Amino acid sequence: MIRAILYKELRQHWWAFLLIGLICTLGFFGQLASSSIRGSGGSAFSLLSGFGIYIALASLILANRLVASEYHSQTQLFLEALPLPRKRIILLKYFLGLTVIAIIAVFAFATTLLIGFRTEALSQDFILFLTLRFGAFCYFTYSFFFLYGFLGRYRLVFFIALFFLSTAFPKITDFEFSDLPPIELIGPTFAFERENFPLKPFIISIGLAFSFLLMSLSLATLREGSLAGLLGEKMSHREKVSIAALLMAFIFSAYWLDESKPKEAYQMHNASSAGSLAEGGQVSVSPASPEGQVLADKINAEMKALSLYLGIKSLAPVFVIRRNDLDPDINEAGYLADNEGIVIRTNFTHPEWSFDHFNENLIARLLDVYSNDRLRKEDRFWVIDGFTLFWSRRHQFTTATGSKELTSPPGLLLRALYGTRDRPPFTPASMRQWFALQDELGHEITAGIACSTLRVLESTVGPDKCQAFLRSVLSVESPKGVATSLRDLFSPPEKLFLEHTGLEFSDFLPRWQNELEQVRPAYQQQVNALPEISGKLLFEALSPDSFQARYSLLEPGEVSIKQKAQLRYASLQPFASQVPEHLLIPVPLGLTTASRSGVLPDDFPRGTRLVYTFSVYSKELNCLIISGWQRKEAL
Amino acid sequence: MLENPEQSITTPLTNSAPPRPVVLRTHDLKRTFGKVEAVRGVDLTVEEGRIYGFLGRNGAGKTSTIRMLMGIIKPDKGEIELLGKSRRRTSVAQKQQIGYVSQGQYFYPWMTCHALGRFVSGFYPSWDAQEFNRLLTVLELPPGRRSSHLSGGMRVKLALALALAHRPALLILDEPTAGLDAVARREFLEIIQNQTLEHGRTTFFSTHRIDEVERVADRVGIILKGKMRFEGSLDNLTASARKISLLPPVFEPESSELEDVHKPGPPPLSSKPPQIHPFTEENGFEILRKETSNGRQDLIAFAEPPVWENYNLFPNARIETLSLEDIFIALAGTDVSSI
Repeated sequence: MIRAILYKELRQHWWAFLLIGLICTLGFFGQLASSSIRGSGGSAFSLLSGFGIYIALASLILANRLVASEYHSQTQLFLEALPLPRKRIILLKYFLGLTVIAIIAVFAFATTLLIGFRTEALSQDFILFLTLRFGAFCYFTYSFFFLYGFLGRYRLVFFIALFFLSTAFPKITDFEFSDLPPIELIGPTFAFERENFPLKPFIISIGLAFSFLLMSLSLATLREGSLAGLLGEKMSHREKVSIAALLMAFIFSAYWLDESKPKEAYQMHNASSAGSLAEGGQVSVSPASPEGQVLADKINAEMKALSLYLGIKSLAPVFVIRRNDLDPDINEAGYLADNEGIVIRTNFTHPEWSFDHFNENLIARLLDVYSNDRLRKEDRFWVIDGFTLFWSRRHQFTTATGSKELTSPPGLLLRALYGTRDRPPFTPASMRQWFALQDELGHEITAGIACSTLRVLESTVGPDKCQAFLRSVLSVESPKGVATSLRDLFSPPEKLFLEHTGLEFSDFLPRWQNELEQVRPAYQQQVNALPEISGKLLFEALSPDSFQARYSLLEPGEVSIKQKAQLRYASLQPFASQVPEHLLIPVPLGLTTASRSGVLPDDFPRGTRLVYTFSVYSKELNCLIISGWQRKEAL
Repeated sequence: MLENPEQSITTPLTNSAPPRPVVLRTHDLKRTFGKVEAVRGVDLTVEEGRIYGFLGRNGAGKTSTIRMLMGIIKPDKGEIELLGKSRRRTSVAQKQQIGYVSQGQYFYPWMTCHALGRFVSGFYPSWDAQEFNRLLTVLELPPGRRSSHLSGGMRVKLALALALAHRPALLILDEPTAGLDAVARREFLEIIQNQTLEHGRTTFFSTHRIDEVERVADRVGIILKGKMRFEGSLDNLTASARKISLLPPVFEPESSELEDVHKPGPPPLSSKPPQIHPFTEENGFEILRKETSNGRQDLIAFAEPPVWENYNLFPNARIETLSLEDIFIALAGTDVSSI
């Protein structure tokens, strides 16, 4: 009887056994080759830790073939009618699969041992440790997947749930999968631990493996095998829908739990620090230095004032890292995956470095993080765009006479006047399309425009109402989720504007523009003296698949460009329309006509999309005047 | 009238032939699935060389009983005496002496008829490869064809060949003809009959088709709602059941006459037909069904065949014999509580 069953299994699954053997062999030698290529030191037995994934894969395939397919095609009913006890059928399948896994494991282990003999000193105890640890892991893995095979139509569901659990659990909790006893057996200590045998994980793994076998037998024999047969049946449509809904709920819950889990603040070493999270903000500046401490204190004071003004309890901690190689106007953003906080790399000891410019960036980032990027929505973007200047330059708004005037500082007013000249009047609709304006004028000019809007608002309705409006847009807690989306949908900035200022937004906009027009004549000459900049970039085919980009700067206005201009460009990722500023590649342009055109140094493959703009620094505006962001594809 | 509508109707085995050895006997087999009592006490006896038709409606408990006989499921209660050995659950050794054709055929689709024979042969020490090949030929089964490429009829034939090739002492067939067309069914039944006639094979087969039982079975067991309602020879069954039509008008008998009616034996002739008829339990009758329409009363009753001889001439009553189908429907449709 045993021979007949074995013969049947071998005939039925020979190609699966062959495939498993092939995958494992290729995987093993692939790992071996890559470790040789890397020339990484360490123990040869580290290979076996990585090989664990192939053991899991082989076990998964075996369980599917030996168990799941039998129940799925209901051929177990044919076997049950034969004079052979049900338990014996299951045990035969179990041991057949285990033999296949054992062959693979022995092959991998023996080969690693041969390599190990040549490269490291191996004691008998160490070899015994390795054998037991690797063997227990393989036994556990196979038994686990054998039981998994009995889940029938719920196998895939279980697998997806397991995948999400393994990825979501460590994020949501402090649980680490590598701490699980079977994983621990082939964990980081596997190839090196020669003194202490991990007895507890070993016993747990063997115990679990044995209990999985007992559970498999129970499942196969429970209610005369009808439960396993039932699980093996096809899934109904209703079941599919329910499970899909459950999985979706699970994913959302995991995501929500991950989002709501408080992240630990990043610990920066060798840094000058100021403030604390409880007092509105914490700042660390690296490396620790007197200049760093000054900067930390200054940022901390700004953060405190900002949280007080907007009524925010605590802003994200800020980490500033000095980078001497950066241009002084660059504030490079860093990313903290698992910690709370904002990282900015900047060259703050450079003589041309501007705290105001840094502060503008910092405010925008702090509020972005606080709002979970809700402020990046186009309909309210003008508010944060204007607020960065409105807040960082607030000390410059008061004139020598002590009154707040739109004309102070003139640079900011000039940005607004330059940006609004020869334009149709602003309406609530055009304010909702702020990104288009930014594309055309650059974010520094649009920030100047929006700043003037807020300043006129403050002077019109008073500081308290203006503050209330800004708080309503900028400092409302915005947890990620549908509720916040709905809140934003039903509370557009125009509605908040009316609620907190008592003015219709559409009535206010003409008043603001009127104020600008009133001061415009006094500054007309200065505005007219500002250059206009334009340029073109064309792709020229070098071959059917590669292109070069030819550019040339133009002077469309009457004012000639007397400063050195730049072409800044970057390749766009698929579906992206913009890149972070620090990723832009600058191409300096000279003063002569010849030096204002040329070919970009790179070749571009077909399909490359470039975003670019020509820009020139304006001393009067203290910012860049741009030709407008344009995008072109190499075709 | 039956006091307990589910009690089994017992009729004696009136075989003129000498008793044969019993191949299979069950005693009070019971099996419950969750809250469903699938089999609620099955007693049956299968003699050597006989064809036993196990008749019952869909869901009556036929397959559950057979699965218990095959040891695929274990009875909650009761005993199975198979080939002289009595146990709760059929052993592997006993199964090796049974040929079994299940209700559905779940062969490995990649196996050919020949390969299936080779595979199954590993489980039966008495496997006869020549016999299997002969059966394949006789049943017109192509040895090299994969089971997935066989028609429904051919699959049943293949199952039969696999069940017969080890020359079993008992052949158990669970609704083997379900899903077969008329020709294939007839062919299959003939094979079963030939096996009994030529090889003296004992066959136990379940069906819900009365014509199949009438055609091939020597003995019949009727199972209803998990309980055996009748077991006996076919002849005995038809000889025991009658349809009685009591004709109106029915008059009150004299008290002396009434007393006479209750006495066993032929009733006295009277000018006034009795209102209380003599077909009662006390007189040895078991009423299966009672219907009244337009003043006429119809009864379907069981009694020992000799009893009918005494009552055949009962006035104001027309007594007719019944077909197996009528009896089965009467048994299956009995709703005694509404009488």
